[in-house]
Amino acid sequence: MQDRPDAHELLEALESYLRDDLLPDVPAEHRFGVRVAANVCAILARETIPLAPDRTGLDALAREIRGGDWDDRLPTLAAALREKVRAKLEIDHPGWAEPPS
Amino acid sequence: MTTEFATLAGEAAERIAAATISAPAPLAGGASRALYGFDARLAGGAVTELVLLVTKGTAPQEFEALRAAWEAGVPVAEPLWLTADRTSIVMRRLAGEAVAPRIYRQERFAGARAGLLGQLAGALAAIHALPPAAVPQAPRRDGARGELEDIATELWSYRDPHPALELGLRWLGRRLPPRRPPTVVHGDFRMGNVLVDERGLVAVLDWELVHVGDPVEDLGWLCGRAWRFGREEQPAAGLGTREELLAAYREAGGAEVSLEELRFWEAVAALRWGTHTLRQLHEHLSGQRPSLELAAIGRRTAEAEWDLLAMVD
Repeated sequence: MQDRPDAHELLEALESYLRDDLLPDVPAEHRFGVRVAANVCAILARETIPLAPDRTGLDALAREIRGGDWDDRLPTLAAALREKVRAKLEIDHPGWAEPPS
Repeated sequence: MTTEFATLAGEAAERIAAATISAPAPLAGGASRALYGFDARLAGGAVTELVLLVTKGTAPQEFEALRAAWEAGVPVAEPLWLTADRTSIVMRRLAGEAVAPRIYRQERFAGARAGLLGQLAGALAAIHALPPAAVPQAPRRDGARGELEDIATELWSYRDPHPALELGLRWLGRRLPPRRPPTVVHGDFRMGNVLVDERGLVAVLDWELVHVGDPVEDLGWLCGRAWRFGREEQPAAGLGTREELLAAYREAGGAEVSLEELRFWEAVAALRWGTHTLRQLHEHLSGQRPSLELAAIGRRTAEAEWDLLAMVD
């Protein structure tokens, strides 16, 4: 499960970049293409709204850790969380989850 | 720009006897802040190159820290004046390169690279020797405990759950190093925030996060994985080993620091960086500063989580 920004939030940011920041500055022959790209982002943003993950379980876990419930098992929990973070990094930054020196 | 041209020209006349100034033009640099270059022609005809740094409200404390550093001989751009509206700082413009990958790769910096880690360690030792009384406006933090409290306050202000960061906070809170005498801490001392030329370190930039706290925080931050720019075999700033950094720091008059203590602060740095990524994401999500770049940084929190968890055993 990825962190925010969710897929639709990233796509909305990309659409706004293409339309509001880039479009005014692109040469005339590419304006149509950039406008289409922005529209495609808007379509994908709407399509991916339902895919936003439910983070209720994560919320509960974060509250437990904050409250000290895991204090005597932190390394065990860290090992489990490492696998979750590794899965996020396979999407967000492949290669980062190598053992650091 | 917050400071109007006429106001700036008036201040330049008053402060450095400038007859005229050129219109400030944006400079590449400050990722999150506006930086402008302009020239002042003095009454005798000489031209002085200046920069105007527009801050997000931290100008008074940055100016005060820059003055203290400049007077103590720490390499910084000479701070000339704080604008009357207290939003901006005028400094002398220096030549050099701040973009880290260029400093690592370009042949012309080969000589500079050889001595750079030692110079960085020396600059840190000099910053940590500044009297905290010289920076009365800098926030005070009670060592590691205060640093973790500051991070927690920020982390908990964002509603999205981050169990890995919560775990790191809890784990570090149970391993606090012995309290050190408080010193001035730069707060963002790393490649990217230092200006380098062919001969080596020219100036320490970006004093936005200056505070008074534990000096080892700066050493841990400098070893953060995000600031190695891919040079994993060189954990200290992408330039050398931790042992080399600690030895150079000690030689320059800094405190004796153990690897274990450095590692603690590296973990704090990962936690702090994770929280910074959340801050930037929320500047975007809240509509305060909508930006694709800030949104994308939100997907870097996982990197900090990984680095932090790797240090929990």
